[in-house]
Amino acid sequence: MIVHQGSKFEQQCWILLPNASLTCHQAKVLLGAVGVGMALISGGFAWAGAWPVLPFAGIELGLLGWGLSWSLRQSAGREVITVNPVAIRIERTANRGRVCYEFHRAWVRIDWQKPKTLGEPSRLLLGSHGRRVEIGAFLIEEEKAALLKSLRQVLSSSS
Amino acid sequence: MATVAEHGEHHESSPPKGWLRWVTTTNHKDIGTLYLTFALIMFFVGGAMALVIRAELYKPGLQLVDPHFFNQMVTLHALIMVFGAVMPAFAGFANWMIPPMIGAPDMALPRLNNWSFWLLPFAALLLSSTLFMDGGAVAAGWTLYPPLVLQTGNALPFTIFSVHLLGLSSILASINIIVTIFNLRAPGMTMMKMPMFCWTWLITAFLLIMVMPVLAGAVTMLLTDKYFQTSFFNPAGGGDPVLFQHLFWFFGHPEVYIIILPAFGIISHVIPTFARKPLFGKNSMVYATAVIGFLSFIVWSHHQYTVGMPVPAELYFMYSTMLIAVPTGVKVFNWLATMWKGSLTFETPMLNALGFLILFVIGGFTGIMMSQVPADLYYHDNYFIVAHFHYTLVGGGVFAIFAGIYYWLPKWTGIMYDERLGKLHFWLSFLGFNVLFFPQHFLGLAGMPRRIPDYALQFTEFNQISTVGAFIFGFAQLLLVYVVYQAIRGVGERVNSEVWEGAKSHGLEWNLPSPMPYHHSFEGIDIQKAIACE
Ligand SMILES: [Cu+2]
Repeated sequence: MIVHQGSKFEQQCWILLPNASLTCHQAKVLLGAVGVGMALISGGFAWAGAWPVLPFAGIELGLLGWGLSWSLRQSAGREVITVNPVAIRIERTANRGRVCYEFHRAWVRIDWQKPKTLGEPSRLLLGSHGRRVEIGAFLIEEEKAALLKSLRQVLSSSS
Repeated sequence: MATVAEHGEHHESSPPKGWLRWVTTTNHKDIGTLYLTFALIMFFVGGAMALVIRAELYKPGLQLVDPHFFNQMVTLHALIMVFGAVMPAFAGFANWMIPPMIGAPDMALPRLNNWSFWLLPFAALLLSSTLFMDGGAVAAGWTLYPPLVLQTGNALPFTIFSVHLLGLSSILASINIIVTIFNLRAPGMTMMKMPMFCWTWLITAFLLIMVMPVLAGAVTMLLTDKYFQTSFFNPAGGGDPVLFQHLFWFFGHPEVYIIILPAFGIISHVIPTFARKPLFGKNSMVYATAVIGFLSFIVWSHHQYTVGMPVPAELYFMYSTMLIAVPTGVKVFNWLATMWKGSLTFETPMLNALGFLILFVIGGFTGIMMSQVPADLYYHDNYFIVAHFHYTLVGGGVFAIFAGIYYWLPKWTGIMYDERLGKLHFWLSFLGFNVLFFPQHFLGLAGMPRRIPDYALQFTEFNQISTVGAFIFGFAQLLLVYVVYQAIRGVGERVNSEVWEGAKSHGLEWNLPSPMPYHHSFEGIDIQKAIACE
């Protein structure tokens, strides 16, 4: 089930969020804990004379930090879809900034594009006149289906 | 419809077709398939090497290969099976199953995922090519002990480079798994609700990132000792060859848990499904896994009892090693308790899981025997050790891989594999495995040393039995290939989403359609949180 708000000035909106089960603080604690463990191990071996373990541990910790921060930045993105009597608006906030698309409500089409080859995700495309934008690329299949249903319901109701 | 390729808009370019798709894919299912396929190929390459070893040992004396080549086979068989077959197979399962199990659309770092796989074939090719180099491949055993390993010819730097690549691949995969499990869980999927397979892989990933720098450092020091006049391991320059052993086994012991923990995870899914009961003591399974992970860091020198250690150190490593039996016992007890009074059926995945249980427990018991310092002084470097670690790594690791493949293959392909042939594959493997490795316990106890192509006459019969078992086990695997190939081709009965009777209550993946859609769906997640409105 999808809840969306419809009363505010005849406007309805959906906010799409990617999974984000880790907070920035938790990520730092995780990285710190792994760092302490690695420091103990590689420090111990360096003390025993095997200092070349240290740089490898450092590089690896850096990679883990990079992976965590990249994923956190991805999770911070969001898409807001607003439908008012005249237009449908998609606001995408990602780490690169904010992009906005607007389509005329009467002309807009939503398509569920099934994967052409096994291995491709299904896509939810929204647009008109040959301009199309993919929405909810980070959602799982069922969420996309629910979103499609909910959007179609609103768009097909006369305004 | 016409397309406008404005910035940020949808590009309607079709994905690359054919082989290019597999090279460029970032889809976790494709990458999982790649990992599993690669593992299967390497399983046969490493297996062929094992058959060379067993064929030579069929009779005392030297028949087929010269001793130096025999030792190259022993070394490469181990490296290829550990890094090329078993670990990638579990990485394949992780890629396929972790995202749907936690409700994520894909792995957290999809491009890194592609790279971590594609490092593997090059590393494996490089490693195999050392066989044709001047002086042959590394022949010092997979432990790469100096000073022996430093006598290798041109192959040494290439082997070390390929070990680096294999290590890098596992590190990247681990980082990806850690980030995915921590950050991409669906709302409502708390850590303690997470399925066992995800838990075991999470702990495995931590083990990997902790120990891989140690291995990388150790092999790099071998390289500098040989080519850059350092003397980390050279007593003449103030170094110590035993330091290498500490480094290697600090990696090497956790490595066996890296192999066995994901196996525990798979078994913890298969047994409840076919016992039609929930996993007994799920939380205690999680804690036991964590305890095993921790203990694996503090027991490494049980591989070095004969090197010469102060008695208190030997006692410490002996007792800490024996402690591992406690959390492992918890797991075995929980699996047995899960089956207790369950309505059991014995489809191929369950047969393999039970095979795992029997063989792994035998390997565990011989492990406790070897943890005893005074006893180990005798067992050391003989076939008892070989029998022990094959019972844990093949009986444990590989049979769990079989169980996982038969368990999830219908979910992946939408086709039920040939159950009759699957069962035949299990029985041939189980029989072949025991004929192959059980006699090696007695050979070892009677004093037959490992890594030697020749042996004394009194060992002949048991070696012949063992070799016969090896060929049965080896050729039985062709059946596995056939069964899997048929299912992939779509030959067989279509399955519904549940596949196994009652499976829906044993994991969210069984709510998905079979074959699993790309970018999954699953019930039980609070969609309101994912798609909410202000
Ligand atoms: Cu060990």
